[in-house]
Amino acid sequence: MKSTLAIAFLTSLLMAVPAAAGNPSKTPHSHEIDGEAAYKANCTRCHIAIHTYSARSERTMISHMRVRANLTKDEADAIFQYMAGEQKPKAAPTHTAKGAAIP
Amino acid sequence: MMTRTFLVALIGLSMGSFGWADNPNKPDDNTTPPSAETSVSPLPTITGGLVFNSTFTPGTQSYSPVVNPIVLVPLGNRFLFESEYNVNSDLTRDHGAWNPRQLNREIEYMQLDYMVNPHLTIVVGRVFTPFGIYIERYHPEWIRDLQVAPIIFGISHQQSMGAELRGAVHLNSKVDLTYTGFYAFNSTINYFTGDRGLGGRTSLFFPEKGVEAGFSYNRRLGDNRFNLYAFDGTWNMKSIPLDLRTEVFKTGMLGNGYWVEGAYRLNKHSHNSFLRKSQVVLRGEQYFTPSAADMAMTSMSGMMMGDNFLPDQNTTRGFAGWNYWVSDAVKLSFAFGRSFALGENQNIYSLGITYRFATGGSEK
Repeated sequence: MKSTLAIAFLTSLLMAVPAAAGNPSKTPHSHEIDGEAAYKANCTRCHIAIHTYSARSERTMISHMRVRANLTKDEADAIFQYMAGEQKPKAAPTHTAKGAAIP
Repeated sequence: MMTRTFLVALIGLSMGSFGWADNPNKPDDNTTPPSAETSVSPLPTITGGLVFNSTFTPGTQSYSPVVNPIVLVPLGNRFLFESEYNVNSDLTRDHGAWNPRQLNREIEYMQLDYMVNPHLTIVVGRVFTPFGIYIERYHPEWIRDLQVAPIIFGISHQQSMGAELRGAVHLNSKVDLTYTGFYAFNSTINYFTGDRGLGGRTSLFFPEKGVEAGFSYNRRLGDNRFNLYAFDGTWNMKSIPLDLRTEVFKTGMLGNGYWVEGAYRLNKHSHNSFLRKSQVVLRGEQYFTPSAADMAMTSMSGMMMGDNFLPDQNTTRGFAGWNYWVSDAVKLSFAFGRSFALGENQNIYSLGITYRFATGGSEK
Protein backbone atom coordinates (compact mmCIF):
# COMPACT_ATOMS: atom_id res chain seq x y z
CA MET A 1 0.00 0.00 0.00
CA LYS A 2 2.83 2.34 0.93
CA SER A 3 4.52 1.54 -2.35
CA THR A 4 1.39 2.30 -4.32
CA LEU A 5 1.05 5.62 -2.56
CA ALA A 6 4.69 6.39 -3.25
CA ILE A 7 4.23 5.58 -6.92
CA ALA A 8 1.12 7.70 -7.13
CA PHE A 9 2.91 10.61 -5.44
CA LEU A 10 5.93 10.34 -7.66
CA THR A 11 3.93 10.04 -10.84
CA SER A 12 1.73 12.96 -9.88
CA LEU A 13 4.76 15.08 -9.15
CA LEU A 14 6.44 14.19 -12.39
CA MET A 15 3.31 14.82 -14.41
CA ALA A 16 2.56 18.07 -12.66
CA VAL A 17 6.00 19.54 -13.18
CA PRO A 18 6.18 19.41 -16.97
CA ALA A 19 2.55 20.41 -17.17
CA ALA A 20 3.33 23.56 -15.22
CA ALA A 21 6.39 24.11 -17.33
CA GLY A 22 4.40 23.76 -20.49
CA ASN A 23 2.35 26.82 -19.63
CA PRO A 24 4.17 29.75 -21.19
CA SER A 25 2.47 32.18 -18.84
CA LYS A 26 4.35 30.62 -15.97
CA THR A 27 7.72 30.99 -17.59
CA PRO A 28 7.85 34.61 -18.64
CA HIS A 29 11.61 34.71 -18.33
CA SER A 30 12.39 31.80 -20.58
CA HIS A 31 13.32 34.13 -23.44
CA GLU A 32 15.26 36.50 -21.25
CA ILE A 33 17.78 34.30 -19.55
CA ASP A 34 21.04 36.10 -18.99
CA GLY A 35 23.81 33.72 -20.02
CA GLU A 36 26.33 35.13 -17.58
CA ALA A 37 23.87 34.98 -14.69
CA ALA A 38 22.85 31.43 -15.59
CA TYR A 39 26.51 30.46 -15.89
CA LYS A 40 27.39 31.90 -12.50
CA ALA A 41 24.29 30.54 -10.80
CA ASN A 42 24.66 27.01 -12.11
CA CYS A 43 28.15 26.16 -13.37
CA THR A 44 30.29 27.81 -10.72
CA ARG A 45 28.41 26.01 -7.99
CA CYS A 46 30.50 22.94 -8.68
CA HIS A 47 33.26 23.91 -11.10
CA ILE A 48 36.08 26.23 -10.20
CA ALA A 49 38.68 26.10 -12.95
CA ILE A 50 37.90 26.71 -16.59
CA HIS A 51 39.11 25.21 -19.80
CA THR A 52 37.27 25.96 -23.01
CA TYR A 53 37.03 23.61 -25.94
CA SER A 54 35.79 23.83 -29.48
CA ALA A 55 32.23 25.07 -29.84
CA ARG A 56 31.01 21.68 -31.04
CA SER A 57 32.50 19.86 -28.06
CA GLU A 58 31.18 22.46 -25.66
CA ARG A 59 27.74 22.04 -27.19
CA THR A 60 27.93 18.33 -26.39
CA MET A 61 29.21 18.85 -22.86
CA ILE A 62 26.54 21.41 -22.10
CA SER A 63 23.88 18.92 -23.27
CA HIS A 64 25.43 16.45 -20.85
CA MET A 65 25.28 19.02 -18.07
CA ARG A 66 21.71 19.90 -18.96
CA VAL A 67 20.75 16.35 -18.03
CA ARG A 68 23.21 15.89 -15.16
CA ALA A 69 22.52 19.21 -13.42
CA ASN A 70 18.80 19.48 -14.18
CA LEU A 71 19.06 22.58 -16.34
CA THR A 72 16.30 23.75 -18.64
CA LYS A 73 16.95 23.98 -22.35
CA ASP A 74 16.84 27.76 -22.16
CA GLU A 75 19.47 27.81 -19.42
CA ALA A 76 21.70 25.41 -21.33
CA ASP A 77 21.40 27.47 -24.51
CA ALA A 78 22.05 30.72 -22.67
CA ILE A 79 25.12 29.27 -20.96
CA PHE A 80 26.42 27.97 -24.26
CA GLN A 81 25.95 31.34 -25.91
CA TYR A 82 27.72 33.00 -23.00
CA MET A 83 30.64 30.59 -23.15
CA ALA A 84 30.93 30.64 -26.91
CA GLY A 85 30.15 34.29 -27.38
CA GLU A 86 31.90 37.52 -26.71
CA GLN A 87 31.27 37.30 -23.00
CA LYS A 88 33.08 34.02 -22.73
CA PRO A 89 35.18 33.88 -19.56
CA LYS A 90 38.92 33.80 -20.08
CA ALA A 91 40.75 30.58 -19.39
CA ALA A 92 42.41 31.76 -16.24
CA PRO A 93 43.56 29.59 -13.38
CA THR A 94 42.99 32.43 -10.98
CA HIS A 95 39.58 31.09 -10.00
CA THR A 96 37.53 34.16 -10.41
CA ALA A 97 33.82 33.75 -10.02
CA LYS A 98 33.63 33.12 -13.74
CA GLY A 99 35.90 30.13 -13.62
CA ALA A 100 34.30 26.86 -14.58
CA ALA A 101 34.97 23.65 -16.35
CA ILE A 102 32.47 21.48 -18.09
CA PRO A 103 31.49 18.92 -17.15
CA MET B 1 0.86 -5.42 -9.89
CA MET B 2 2.83 -2.48 -8.60
CA THR B 3 5.35 -2.75 -11.40
CA ARG B 4 2.55 -2.82 -13.92
CA THR B 5 0.96 0.23 -12.34
CA PHE B 6 4.18 2.16 -12.50
CA LEU B 7 4.97 1.15 -16.03
CA VAL B 8 1.52 2.22 -17.17
CA ALA B 9 2.04 5.55 -15.43
CA LEU B 10 5.46 5.92 -17.01
CA ILE B 11 4.21 5.14 -20.49
CA GLY B 12 1.29 7.51 -20.02
CA LEU B 13 3.60 10.23 -18.88
CA SER B 14 5.97 9.64 -21.72
CA MET B 15 3.16 9.80 -24.26
CA GLY B 16 1.78 12.89 -22.65
CA SER B 17 5.17 14.47 -22.76
CA PHE B 18 5.22 14.37 -26.52
CA GLY B 19 2.41 16.84 -26.37
CA TRP B 20 4.74 19.21 -24.57
CA ALA B 21 7.67 18.46 -26.80
CA ASP B 22 9.10 21.23 -28.90
CA ASN B 23 7.14 21.71 -32.07
CA PRO B 24 9.44 23.11 -34.71
CA ASN B 25 6.47 24.57 -36.55
CA LYS B 26 5.39 26.56 -33.56
CA PRO B 27 7.06 29.95 -33.40
CA ASP B 28 6.52 30.31 -29.66
CA ASP B 29 7.70 26.95 -28.37
CA ASN B 30 9.07 28.28 -25.14
CA THR B 31 12.67 27.95 -26.17
CA THR B 32 15.50 30.36 -26.66
CA PRO B 33 15.46 31.65 -30.23
CA PRO B 34 17.97 29.88 -32.43
CA SER B 35 21.23 31.67 -33.01
CA ALA B 36 24.54 31.05 -34.62
CA GLU B 37 25.77 29.45 -31.43
CA THR B 38 22.78 27.22 -30.71
CA SER B 39 22.82 25.97 -34.29
CA VAL B 40 26.32 24.58 -33.73
CA SER B 41 26.08 20.85 -34.22
CA PRO B 42 27.40 18.86 -31.26
CA LEU B 43 30.47 16.68 -31.64
CA PRO B 44 31.06 13.25 -30.03
CA THR B 45 33.40 13.93 -27.13
CA ILE B 46 35.39 12.02 -24.58
CA THR B 47 35.99 13.82 -21.34
CA GLY B 48 36.75 12.81 -17.78
CA GLY B 49 39.64 12.64 -15.36
CA LEU B 50 42.93 10.97 -14.62
CA VAL B 51 43.52 10.73 -10.91
CA PHE B 52 46.22 9.48 -8.60
CA ASN B 53 45.15 9.26 -4.99
CA SER B 54 47.11 8.08 -1.99
CA THR B 55 45.90 7.70 1.56
CA PHE B 56 47.93 6.96 4.63
CA THR B 57 46.68 5.58 7.92
CA PRO B 58 48.84 4.10 10.68
CA GLY B 59 50.47 0.96 9.25
CA THR B 60 48.68 1.19 5.90
CA GLN B 61 49.49 3.04 2.70
CA SER B 62 47.13 2.92 -0.23
CA TYR B 63 47.82 4.13 -3.77
CA SER B 64 45.01 4.33 -6.28
CA PRO B 65 45.39 5.41 -9.91
CA VAL B 66 42.00 6.07 -11.49
CA VAL B 67 40.96 6.56 -15.10
CA ASN B 68 37.49 7.99 -15.42
CA PRO B 69 36.50 8.56 -19.07
CA ILE B 70 33.06 9.84 -20.01
CA VAL B 71 31.90 9.17 -23.56
CA LEU B 72 29.33 11.60 -24.95
CA VAL B 73 27.72 10.86 -28.30
CA PRO B 74 25.01 13.26 -29.44
CA LEU B 75 22.42 11.75 -31.76
CA GLY B 76 20.78 14.75 -33.32
CA ASN B 77 19.65 17.58 -31.10
CA ARG B 78 17.38 15.62 -28.80
CA PHE B 79 19.25 12.41 -28.02
CA LEU B 80 22.49 12.00 -26.14
CA PHE B 81 24.22 8.73 -25.39
CA GLU B 82 26.52 9.04 -22.42
CA SER B 83 28.58 6.58 -20.47
CA GLU B 84 31.15 6.85 -17.71
CA TYR B 85 33.69 4.17 -16.96
CA ASN B 86 35.84 3.78 -13.91
CA VAL B 87 39.05 1.82 -14.05
CA ASN B 88 41.13 1.89 -10.91
CA SER B 89 43.78 -0.10 -9.18
CA ASP B 90 44.21 -0.42 -5.46
CA LEU B 91 47.81 -0.86 -4.34
CA THR B 92 47.87 -1.28 -0.59
CA ARG B 93 50.85 -1.85 1.68
CA ASP B 94 49.63 -3.18 4.99
CA HIS B 95 52.16 -3.34 7.84
CA GLY B 96 55.09 -3.80 5.51
CA ALA B 97 53.53 -6.28 3.09
CA TRP B 98 51.88 -5.48 -0.23
CA ASN B 99 48.37 -6.80 -0.66
CA PRO B 100 47.48 -8.44 -4.00
CA ARG B 101 47.07 -5.81 -6.69
CA GLN B 102 43.51 -5.25 -7.74
CA LEU B 103 42.24 -3.87 -11.02
CA ASN B 104 38.64 -2.75 -10.76
CA ARG B 105 36.54 -1.96 -13.80
CA GLU B 106 33.07 -0.58 -13.60
CA ILE B 107 30.50 1.03 -15.83
CA GLU B 108 29.36 3.92 -13.67
CA TYR B 109 26.50 4.69 -16.01
CA MET B 110 25.48 4.02 -19.59
CA GLN B 111 22.37 5.84 -20.59
CA LEU B 112 20.41 7.30 -23.45
CA ASP B 113 18.90 10.71 -22.83
CA TYR B 114 15.88 11.94 -24.74
CA MET B 115 15.28 15.64 -24.24
CA VAL B 116 11.53 15.70 -24.65
CA ASN B 117 10.97 19.38 -24.02
CA PRO B 118 12.84 22.23 -22.33
CA HIS B 119 11.85 20.92 -18.93
CA LEU B 120 11.85 17.16 -19.26
CA THR B 121 14.41 14.53 -20.20
CA ILE B 122 13.71 10.81 -20.29
CA VAL B 123 16.71 8.66 -19.47
CA VAL B 124 16.98 4.91 -19.94
CA GLY B 125 19.78 2.50 -19.17
CA ARG B 126 22.20 2.14 -16.30
CA VAL B 127 21.95 5.30 -14.24
CA PHE B 128 23.21 6.63 -10.95
CA THR B 129 20.40 6.07 -8.48
CA PRO B 130 19.32 9.61 -7.60
CA PHE B 131 19.76 9.96 -3.87
CA GLY B 132 21.24 13.09 -2.36
CA ILE B 133 23.42 15.74 -3.95
CA TYR B 134 26.87 14.12 -3.76
CA ILE B 135 26.11 11.33 -6.21
CA GLU B 136 24.21 13.71 -8.46
CA ARG B 137 26.78 16.52 -8.67
CA TYR B 138 29.91 16.30 -6.57
CA HIS B 139 31.35 12.81 -6.76
CA PRO B 140 33.67 13.23 -9.80
CA GLU B 141 37.24 13.61 -8.57
CA TRP B 142 37.75 16.80 -10.54
CA ILE B 143 34.76 18.37 -8.79
CA ARG B 144 34.81 17.10 -5.21
CA ASP B 145 36.59 19.32 -2.73
CA LEU B 146 38.13 16.48 -0.74
CA GLN B 147 39.52 13.39 -2.42
CA VAL B 148 38.16 11.18 0.37
CA ALA B 149 34.42 10.83 -0.15
CA PRO B 150 32.03 11.18 2.78
CA ILE B 151 31.31 7.94 4.64
CA ILE B 152 27.67 7.94 3.61
CA PHE B 153 28.68 8.00 -0.05
CA GLY B 154 28.85 4.26 0.58
CA ILE B 155 25.07 4.37 0.75
CA SER B 156 24.36 6.69 -2.17
CA HIS B 157 26.97 5.36 -4.61
CA GLN B 158 24.55 3.03 -6.27
CA GLN B 159 23.50 2.35 -9.83
CA SER B 160 20.17 1.21 -11.17
CA MET B 161 18.93 -0.32 -14.41
CA GLY B 162 15.77 1.40 -15.52
CA ALA B 163 14.33 4.74 -16.50
CA GLU B 164 14.52 8.26 -15.16
CA LEU B 165 12.49 11.38 -15.72
CA ARG B 166 14.42 14.52 -14.88
CA GLY B 167 14.37 18.22 -15.48
CA ALA B 168 13.69 21.61 -14.01
CA VAL B 169 11.02 24.27 -13.97
CA HIS B 170 11.23 27.99 -13.23
CA LEU B 171 8.52 28.46 -10.62
CA ASN B 172 9.14 32.19 -10.74
CA SER B 173 12.05 34.52 -11.37
CA LYS B 174 13.65 33.59 -8.05
CA VAL B 175 12.91 29.90 -7.59
CA ASP B 176 13.57 26.82 -9.70
CA LEU B 177 12.18 23.38 -9.01
CA THR B 178 14.34 20.44 -10.06
CA TYR B 179 13.13 16.88 -10.13
CA THR B 180 14.43 13.39 -10.84
CA GLY B 181 12.29 10.28 -10.57
CA PHE B 182 13.33 6.73 -11.39
CA TYR B 183 12.09 3.21 -11.60
CA ALA B 184 14.58 0.36 -11.68
CA PHE B 185 14.21 -3.32 -12.34
CA ASN B 186 16.26 -6.18 -11.02
CA SER B 187 19.26 -7.04 -13.16
CA THR B 188 21.99 -9.62 -12.66
CA ILE B 189 23.79 -9.02 -15.97
CA ASN B 190 27.52 -8.60 -15.47
CA TYR B 191 28.51 -4.91 -15.31
CA PHE B 192 24.80 -4.00 -15.37
CA THR B 193 23.61 -5.29 -12.03
CA GLY B 194 20.97 -3.46 -10.06
CA ASP B 195 18.12 -3.93 -7.62
CA ARG B 196 14.49 -3.19 -8.18
CA GLY B 197 13.45 0.11 -6.69
CA LEU B 198 11.94 3.49 -7.24
CA GLY B 199 12.16 7.01 -5.92
CA GLY B 200 13.76 10.27 -6.78
CA ARG B 201 15.02 13.64 -5.70
CA THR B 202 13.45 17.05 -5.87
CA SER B 203 14.86 20.39 -4.85
CA LEU B 204 14.16 24.08 -4.70
CA PHE B 205 16.95 26.24 -6.08
CA PHE B 206 17.23 29.96 -5.46
CA PRO B 207 19.73 31.14 -8.10
CA GLU B 208 20.13 34.68 -6.81
CA LYS B 209 20.93 33.44 -3.32
CA GLY B 210 22.94 30.44 -4.47
CA VAL B 211 20.89 28.21 -2.19
CA GLU B 212 19.47 24.78 -2.96
CA ALA B 213 17.55 22.49 -0.64
CA GLY B 214 16.77 18.96 -1.80
CA PHE B 215 14.89 15.94 -0.60
CA SER B 216 15.36 12.38 -1.81
CA TYR B 217 13.34 9.25 -1.32
CA ASN B 218 14.23 5.74 -2.42
CA ARG B 219 12.33 2.53 -1.89
CA ARG B 220 14.38 -0.58 -2.38
CA LEU B 221 12.37 -3.52 -3.64
CA GLY B 222 15.00 -6.22 -3.65
CA ASP B 223 15.29 -9.07 -1.16
CA ASN B 224 14.98 -6.51 1.61
CA ARG B 225 12.32 -3.87 1.18
CA PHE B 226 12.99 -0.61 2.93
CA ASN B 227 12.86 3.15 2.57
CA LEU B 228 15.72 5.62 2.42
CA TYR B 229 15.41 9.34 2.99
CA ALA B 230 17.91 12.11 2.38
CA PHE B 231 18.05 15.84 2.81
CA ASP B 232 20.71 17.92 1.14
CA GLY B 233 21.55 21.58 1.16
CA THR B 234 24.07 23.79 -0.61
CA TRP B 235 24.84 27.46 -0.26
CA ASN B 236 27.26 29.20 -2.60
CA MET B 237 27.67 32.54 -0.90
CA LYS B 238 27.76 35.57 -3.12
CA SER B 239 29.52 37.99 -0.79
CA ILE B 240 32.48 35.74 -0.03
CA PRO B 241 33.89 32.78 -2.02
CA LEU B 242 32.57 30.21 0.44
CA ASP B 243 30.63 27.11 -0.52
CA LEU B 244 28.69 25.17 2.11
CA ARG B 245 27.31 21.70 1.43
CA THR B 246 25.59 19.08 3.52
CA GLU B 247 23.77 15.79 3.27
CA VAL B 248 21.76 13.94 5.89
CA PHE B 249 20.75 10.30 5.31
CA LYS B 250 18.18 8.33 7.24
CA THR B 251 18.14 4.85 5.85
CA GLY B 252 17.37 2.54 8.75
CA MET B 253 18.77 -0.73 7.44
CA LEU B 254 21.93 0.89 6.07
CA GLY B 255 22.52 3.25 8.93
CA ASN B 256 22.18 6.99 9.29
CA GLY B 257 24.66 9.80 8.90
CA TYR B 258 25.50 13.25 7.73
CA TRP B 259 28.37 15.40 6.53
CA VAL B 260 28.88 19.15 6.48
CA GLU B 261 31.55 20.73 4.31
CA GLY B 262 32.83 24.22 3.76
CA ALA B 263 35.21 25.22 0.97
CA TYR B 264 36.77 28.67 0.85
CA ARG B 265 38.66 30.04 -2.16
CA LEU B 266 41.45 32.44 -1.33
CA ASN B 267 41.36 34.33 -4.62
CA LYS B 268 39.79 37.44 -3.16
CA HIS B 269 42.13 37.87 -0.25
CA SER B 270 45.57 37.90 -1.68
CA HIS B 271 47.58 39.00 -4.69
CA ASN B 272 49.93 36.11 -4.09
CA SER B 273 49.49 33.78 -7.06
CA PHE B 274 49.86 30.64 -4.88
CA LEU B 275 47.07 31.71 -2.60
CA ARG B 276 44.90 32.89 -5.46
CA LYS B 277 44.98 29.37 -6.87
CA SER B 278 44.23 27.75 -3.53
CA GLN B 279 41.19 26.61 -1.64
CA VAL B 280 40.84 25.42 1.95
CA VAL B 281 38.26 22.81 2.87
CA LEU B 282 36.82 21.58 6.15
CA ARG B 283 34.46 18.66 6.59
CA GLY B 284 32.82 17.06 9.61
CA GLU B 285 30.79 13.87 9.42
CA GLN B 286 29.20 11.13 11.44
CA TYR B 287 27.90 7.69 10.59
CA PHE B 288 25.68 5.60 12.84
CA THR B 289 25.36 1.90 12.16
CA PRO B 290 21.91 0.30 11.83
CA SER B 291 20.16 -0.88 14.94
CA ALA B 292 20.61 -4.50 15.97
CA ALA B 293 17.14 -5.30 14.67
CA ASP B 294 17.86 -3.73 11.29
CA MET B 295 21.23 -5.42 11.04
CA ALA B 296 19.65 -8.77 11.71
CA MET B 297 17.43 -8.23 8.67
CA THR B 298 20.27 -7.09 6.47
CA SER B 299 22.81 -9.44 5.02
CA MET B 300 26.38 -8.22 5.12
CA SER B 301 26.44 -8.11 1.34
CA GLY B 302 23.58 -5.69 1.60
CA MET B 303 25.74 -3.48 3.75
CA MET B 304 28.38 -3.12 1.08
CA MET B 305 27.12 -0.82 -1.57
CA GLY B 306 28.95 0.78 -4.41
CA ASP B 307 32.68 1.27 -4.17
CA ASN B 308 32.63 2.41 -0.61
CA PHE B 309 32.32 0.24 2.43
CA LEU B 310 30.36 1.38 5.40
CA PRO B 311 32.05 1.16 8.81
CA ASP B 312 30.85 -1.58 11.13
CA GLN B 313 30.67 0.79 14.08
CA ASN B 314 29.66 4.34 14.76
CA THR B 315 32.27 6.67 13.30
CA THR B 316 33.01 10.37 13.56
CA ARG B 317 35.47 11.95 11.15
CA GLY B 318 36.90 15.38 10.50
CA PHE B 319 39.02 16.61 7.59
CA ALA B 320 40.97 19.72 6.74
CA GLY B 321 42.17 19.99 3.17
CA TRP B 322 43.99 22.19 0.73
CA ASN B 323 43.47 22.30 -3.03
CA TYR B 324 45.84 24.00 -5.44
CA TRP B 325 45.20 24.43 -9.15
CA VAL B 326 48.42 24.12 -11.11
CA SER B 327 46.44 24.98 -14.22
CA ASP B 328 42.81 25.01 -15.18
CA ALA B 329 42.98 21.26 -15.75
CA VAL B 330 45.34 20.05 -13.01
CA LYS B 331 44.54 20.09 -9.31
CA LEU B 332 46.69 19.04 -6.38
CA SER B 333 44.90 18.01 -3.19
CA PHE B 334 46.10 17.40 0.31
CA ALA B 335 44.03 16.60 3.36
CA PHE B 336 44.50 15.57 6.94
CA GLY B 337 41.74 13.81 8.81
CA ARG B 338 41.06 12.17 12.13
CA SER B 339 38.64 9.30 12.48
CA PHE B 340 37.06 8.39 15.79
CA ALA B 341 35.53 4.95 16.29
CA LEU B 342 35.50 2.71 19.31
CA GLY B 343 39.02 1.34 19.63
CA GLU B 344 39.99 2.57 16.17
CA ASN B 345 40.89 6.23 16.44
CA GLN B 346 43.33 7.06 13.69
CA ASN B 347 44.79 9.79 11.54
CA ILE B 348 44.20 9.83 7.79
CA TYR B 349 46.37 11.65 5.28
CA SER B 350 45.46 11.92 1.65
CA LEU B 351 47.40 13.29 -1.28
CA GLY B 352 46.14 13.40 -4.82
CA ILE B 353 46.55 14.87 -8.26
CA THR B 354 43.68 15.20 -10.71
CA TYR B 355 43.88 15.93 -14.42
CA ARG B 356 40.69 16.71 -16.23
CA PHE B 357 40.63 16.20 -19.97
CA ALA B 358 38.31 16.44 -22.94
CA THR B 359 38.72 15.73 -26.62
CA GLY B 360 37.42 17.98 -29.34
CA GLY B 361 40.15 20.57 -29.49
CA SER B 362 40.94 23.45 -27.28
CA GLU B 363 40.09 27.12 -27.48
CA LYS B 364 38.63 28.07 -30.84
